[in-house]
Amino acid sequence: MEILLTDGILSNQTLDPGSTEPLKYTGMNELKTVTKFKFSSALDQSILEHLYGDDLHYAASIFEIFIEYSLPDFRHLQVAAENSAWEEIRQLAHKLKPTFPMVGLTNLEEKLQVIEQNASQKMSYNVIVKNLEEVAETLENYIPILQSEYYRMREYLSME
Amino acid sequence: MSTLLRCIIVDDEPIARKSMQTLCQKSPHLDVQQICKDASEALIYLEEHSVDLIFLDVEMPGITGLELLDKIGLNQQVILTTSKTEYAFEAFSYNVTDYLKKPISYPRFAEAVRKALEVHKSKNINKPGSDSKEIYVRVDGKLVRLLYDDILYFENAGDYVCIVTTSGNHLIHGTITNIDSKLPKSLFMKVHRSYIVNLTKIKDIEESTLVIDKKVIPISRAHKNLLFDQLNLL
Repeated sequence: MEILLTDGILSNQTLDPGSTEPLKYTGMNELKTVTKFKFSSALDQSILEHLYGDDLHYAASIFEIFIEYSLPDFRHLQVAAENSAWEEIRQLAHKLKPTFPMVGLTNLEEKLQVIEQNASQKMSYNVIVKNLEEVAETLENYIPILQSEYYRMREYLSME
Repeated sequence: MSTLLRCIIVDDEPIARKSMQTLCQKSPHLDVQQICKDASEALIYLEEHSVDLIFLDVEMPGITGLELLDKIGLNQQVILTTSKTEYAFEAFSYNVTDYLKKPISYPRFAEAVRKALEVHKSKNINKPGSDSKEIYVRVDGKLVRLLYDDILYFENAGDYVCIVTTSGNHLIHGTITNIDSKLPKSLFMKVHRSYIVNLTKIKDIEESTLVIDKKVIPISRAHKNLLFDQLNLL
């Protein structure tokens, strides 16, 4: 729990250090205690903060959609690569590219950009497959983190 | 009263649609009327409805965002959204209001909305018809002045629109949607894809029709609630 003192005036509110319940803001010039949600350091926290600010509902809904739609789309991209379907690879890479930073996977956006470019220029098929394998490997490691972050956000929001 | 821009979101990507919808909901100046998952859906919606602003993805399967712009013209403002900066130059040649690169943060989004509000306000200030009681239409190579109070309704006639007035009819080149965007909303309302009516001339209304000067005009399901909202019902 992160405790923030605001306006420099203490109230009589008692803090239970063992409590996981977020304490609510009780008014101006009072002790304000906030359990500020912190994203996992495995993700790009700065972009998540930049995109969502304090709106955790928004962040949770985006994580949910990413897990539900973008991950299957990535599987489609792998299938398209297996079939050497250049235009489909390019379109799927283009579509997926901006979704990665929305869940804090900024590093993968650049790799998708390379795949999109290679597909549009019909570069070596092997290069694309190699790039995709790298992304897939990294993504596999991140999937449990994304799922865990999503459930953590939901849990946090349910306590509000 | 604060300005409220009627807007639609067009994007094939679910995350982008959700993101844009959430950003729009944060703004007190935007009223999201429709969320379309491709340009074809948007085209169908825009045939029946006029909006002030479109958040439009550039690269979509089928009809692209820029191709959609070619089809609908710029009767409304457009904010393009894309993950590719390469489109920026082409985008501005379409005279769009702004160009947002995905992923979009709220401060950047708010800046684009501010621009749209300024354009909307300046258009309304510069529009001589804001408080006027008349409109000029081009008929047979000359501009004819029509008083709003004389206009009964506008009827779609293919590439033309027939303006039915108390003193006769005028056939002008244009579309119902285009004309609807130029008429005062307090007086005129599109009640069907083929009709705009003068609200003060309605004699009576039934379940799905209304009557103006003995002419029975259909009311589409999509416009029915809007029409009833506009009426002073006892």
